[in-house]
Amino acid sequence: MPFRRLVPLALALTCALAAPARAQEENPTVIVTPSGESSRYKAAVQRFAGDAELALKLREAIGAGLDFSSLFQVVSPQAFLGSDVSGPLDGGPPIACPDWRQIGADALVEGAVALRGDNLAVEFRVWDVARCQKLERKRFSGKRGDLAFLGHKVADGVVGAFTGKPGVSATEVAFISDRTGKREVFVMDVVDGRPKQATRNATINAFPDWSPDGGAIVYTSYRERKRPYLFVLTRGQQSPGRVFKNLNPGWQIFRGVFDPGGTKLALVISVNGQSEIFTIGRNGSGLQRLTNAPTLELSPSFSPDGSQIAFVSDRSGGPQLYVMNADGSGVRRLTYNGNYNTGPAWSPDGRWIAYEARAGGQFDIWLIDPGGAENVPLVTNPSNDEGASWSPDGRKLVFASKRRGAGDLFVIDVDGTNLRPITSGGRANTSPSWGPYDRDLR
Amino acid sequence: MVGGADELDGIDRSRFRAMVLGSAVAHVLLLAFLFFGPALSPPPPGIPGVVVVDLVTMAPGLSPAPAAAPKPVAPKPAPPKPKPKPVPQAKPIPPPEPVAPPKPPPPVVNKTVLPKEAMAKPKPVPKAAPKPEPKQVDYDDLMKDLREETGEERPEAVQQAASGAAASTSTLPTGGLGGTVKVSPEVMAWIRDTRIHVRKNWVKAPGFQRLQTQLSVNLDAAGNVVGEPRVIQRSGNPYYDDSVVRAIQKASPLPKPPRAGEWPFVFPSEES
Repeated sequence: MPFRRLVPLALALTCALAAPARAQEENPTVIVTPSGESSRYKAAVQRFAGDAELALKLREAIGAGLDFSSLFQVVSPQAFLGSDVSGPLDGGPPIACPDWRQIGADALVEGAVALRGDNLAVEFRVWDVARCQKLERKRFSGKRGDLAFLGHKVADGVVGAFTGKPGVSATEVAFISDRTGKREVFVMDVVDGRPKQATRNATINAFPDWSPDGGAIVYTSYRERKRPYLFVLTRGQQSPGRVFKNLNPGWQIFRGVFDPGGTKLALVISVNGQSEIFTIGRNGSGLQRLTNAPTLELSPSFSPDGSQIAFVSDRSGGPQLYVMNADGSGVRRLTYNGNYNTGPAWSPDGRWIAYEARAGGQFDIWLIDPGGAENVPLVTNPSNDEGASWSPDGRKLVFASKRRGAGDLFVIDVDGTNLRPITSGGRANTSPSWGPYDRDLR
Repeated sequence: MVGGADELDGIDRSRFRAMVLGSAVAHVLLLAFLFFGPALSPPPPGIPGVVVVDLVTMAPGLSPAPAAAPKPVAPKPAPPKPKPKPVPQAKPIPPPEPVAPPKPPPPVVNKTVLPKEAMAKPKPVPKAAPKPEPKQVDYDDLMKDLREETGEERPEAVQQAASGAAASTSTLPTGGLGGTVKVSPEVMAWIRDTRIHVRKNWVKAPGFQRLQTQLSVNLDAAGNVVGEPRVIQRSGNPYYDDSVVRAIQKASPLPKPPRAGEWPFVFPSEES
């Protein structure tokens, strides 16, 4: 009977059609969570086309910048299967992605370097080797002496191409050091570790803070009348010196910090012996008093959108962190752990406020979220760790520590890994302020 | 009814049989369609089921871990105590220099920061003596294993699977609409090994927070990734999505899968 045979056939056909789809549907989900260990992309950096000596130095600087990012590890050129030297960026043969994959590279960096007179130009391109895709192509220029700096910018560009935020190896840190015998302001590239002295007044200087455009540093100095006033350093031009001279000369200005827009500053001023927080326009106009309490109000730090200010007050007994709106309203207490918390620094992404917490007679660095729900230690060590300042990408912090003696600056990733010193051999290096991105990377 | 019997009498028997059979086939086909129909339709994007299961498996009281946060064991701040103790110490003075607290111990070697030891995750509670009977492993167990896995202590179920001592099944979420599927210990073991393998190839930059990407990965019988993984659910951050696609591609070949085909992978940015 034909129909009798048809029944099982139809059933079998139906099942056969449905089975693969059902099997596919039914595969369980593989959930992959991050390991908590830091892992790095592997980058193959070719020797850029152009002068070989320059190209080798440039490659070294790119490698140092990538290493500083904590996100990339450089593949030794000896492992390369293909050419060690970049071909032309335009019209050259296509890169052999399988060869780069085979040596484990995730990124290939190629480019060219050219020196004309004293002017240096660097152009690079970065590939995502796994997908054989060009991700980024950029050109930077500078003077011959900027070779390492340009290499760091290339590295930062590579980091940006893979993660969406450039690296920070081509940024600077301002800090106070007594290596000359007096506390002066110094500035150094965060990677190369050679501090340049920025003030020479042989008095006491403190609390440098970068303007958001990187063009100025405001700092406190006792250089006039042995009283604290604010001064400004600018790049490559006559620095304006003391600022806000229009304020009551009886007031002492202990500290100034720029707001994220760079148009105003928050000041800590001693009024009749009582320290209070004010804001003022960069040009000295619009002074506004934000706090008015018979207690100490210190250490203002703006939120990244400029709408709030974290600060320290001892209105509840010991110093604790508080947050207020940028007009002084809506004050709320943020920290409750321990009895001595100071030095707030709001992260550029707004996620955290870093601060110093005294525990057992030493200062550690903690992170608290602005809502106060999460509060975690970042740096704990049986010595003092203090003065945290965020990198412009929010992935790292610089802080001062006495763990090696007099005091050095250290950098650490926000997840608590990759601790490294960036100063050495000095005496006290304190009060770091991490500068903004170079303008080419903003 | 009676009328029907009368009608039968007038119909050719073989034609009648054919009609009955035809009708039976049609019913079978209809039933099969109703039964398998959902499986034939493509899975919708967005897979709430995975998220739901994740929540279920979180340890009670755990808040979502901060993405970039140090791996802490932070003495969580006791929920706001309304009042701090008044401190008898002298008020801090607006410092011309950073405040120097009464000073500490001699310089010490970098006993660094956030060491895993200090911030260690809760130690897995040592299990009581192995149970003689096969254990029913479910998703909770798997997630617990995930959290402990760096110790490479093989989960009971996997040990059993490896030794062939038991053949219990497990329930895991599928890539479908919050569905679950029973899987064998062998599949559980493959998932665990695959996760470890892929994780080693994943670079997650600090700063990616509260993101989740879902991929569909086509694997051949040897574990090779065929073609580019498809992003089924985007995280909202293309760089994060790219990082997980890279992780899969770089991890190829994966451990040999129980069967070739499409496998769903989910990459949350935080450990749950």
